[in-house]
Amino acid sequence: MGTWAEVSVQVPRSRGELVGERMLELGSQGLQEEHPPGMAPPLRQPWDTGPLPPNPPAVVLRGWWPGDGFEAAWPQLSAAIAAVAGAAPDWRPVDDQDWADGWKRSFTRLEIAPGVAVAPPWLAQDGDLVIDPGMAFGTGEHATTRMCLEATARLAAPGGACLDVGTGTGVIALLAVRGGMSARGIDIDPDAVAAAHENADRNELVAAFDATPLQQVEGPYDLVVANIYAEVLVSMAPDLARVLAPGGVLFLTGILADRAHLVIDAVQAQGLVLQHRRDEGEWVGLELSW
Amino acid sequence: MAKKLVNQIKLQIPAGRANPAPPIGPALGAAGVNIPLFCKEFNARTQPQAGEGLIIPTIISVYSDRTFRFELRTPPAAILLKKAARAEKGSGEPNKEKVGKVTAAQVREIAQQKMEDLNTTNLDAACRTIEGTARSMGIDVV
Repeated sequence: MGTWAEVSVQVPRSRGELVGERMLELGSQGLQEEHPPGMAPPLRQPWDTGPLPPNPPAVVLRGWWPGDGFEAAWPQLSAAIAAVAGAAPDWRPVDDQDWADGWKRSFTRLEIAPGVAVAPPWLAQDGDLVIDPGMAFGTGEHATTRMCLEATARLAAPGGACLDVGTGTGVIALLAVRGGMSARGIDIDPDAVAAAHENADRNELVAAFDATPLQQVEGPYDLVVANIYAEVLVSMAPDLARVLAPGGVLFLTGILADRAHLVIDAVQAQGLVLQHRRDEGEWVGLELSW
Repeated sequence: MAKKLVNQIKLQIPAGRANPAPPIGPALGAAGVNIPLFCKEFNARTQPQAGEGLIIPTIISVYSDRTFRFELRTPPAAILLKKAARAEKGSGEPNKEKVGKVTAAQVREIAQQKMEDLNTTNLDAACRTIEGTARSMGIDVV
């Protein structure tokens, strides 16, 4: 197994581009830019509004060189970087690793209910719903995903119809199909719709997936599931109620606990009644019916 | 799916040539991101720039369920300046050794490309930033 040399240097933000370019000229295999330790501004969440937090006045640049012969080249390389950075760079050896597959180690098979499990292809057992993790679906361990999966497994009524709003990979709709329902998943993201179709094929299940806005969807559906931010759920409340069949169940999550009251008020204003609230960490799941 | 942003990773990667080696492997592997998928998507989206050998700044947002999104930025101003000046590389001694020239119009064009990344709506301010970068790498603005 070979090694890499990871070179890092902290520079004023205004010189970041210039120093980065010099490191690339000197042979770095790409670059990473980070905030200096202890100086990272808070991450801007999708629901945050208002001005962006200011960036720290400095950046840390990391570059990588093949490890073979690096020590001999270091004095000259270090001097060349320092000349433009105005600061001495550091370096450390990094063992070559199986990065192409190493990321898979953080995934697990998720058992939702007896006999019902979701798993990535390399962990799947017979009968599991197989979802390839990617841009639209991660581990399934996220509280809101797990709450949706558990609710769908529990509420799926054979012969009924399910609508999965903001379908992502289609996992909720596919689980509903497994439970004997017909299902449709909608998502405004075309990549998600494509991923959902692929996952349906992978699991040899039939569900409808499309990018139709909820406002244009006609009901009724016996089970409506949505895992979307609270603010979006509030704006969707009239349409969520419109497509829900008499006697149907609406399950909502993706809601941060401090915003749950907004969603509850909005759906109750449509005449729905809160049957069950589940809190998990900072996230909330709401089960409602007429 | 609703989820929290837990990490934002800024990389500069050669267009069309992403692979699991550094910087992508160590940076994204620690965040649990599907590295082969990222490489495939990145290479597909940057294929048009691959022939020019451009470096593409990329911001990868990683969410609490380890899903990710990425956005591509315009190449660094230093690279665009070198291209405009037809310079192989920047100067190690910019005050003494000049490596090329760019016109004010070329600076303006680069500033327009970089406006969003420079976090300004003022074109004159963006031009001054680009001119500063040009001077620092031994490129004269004429």
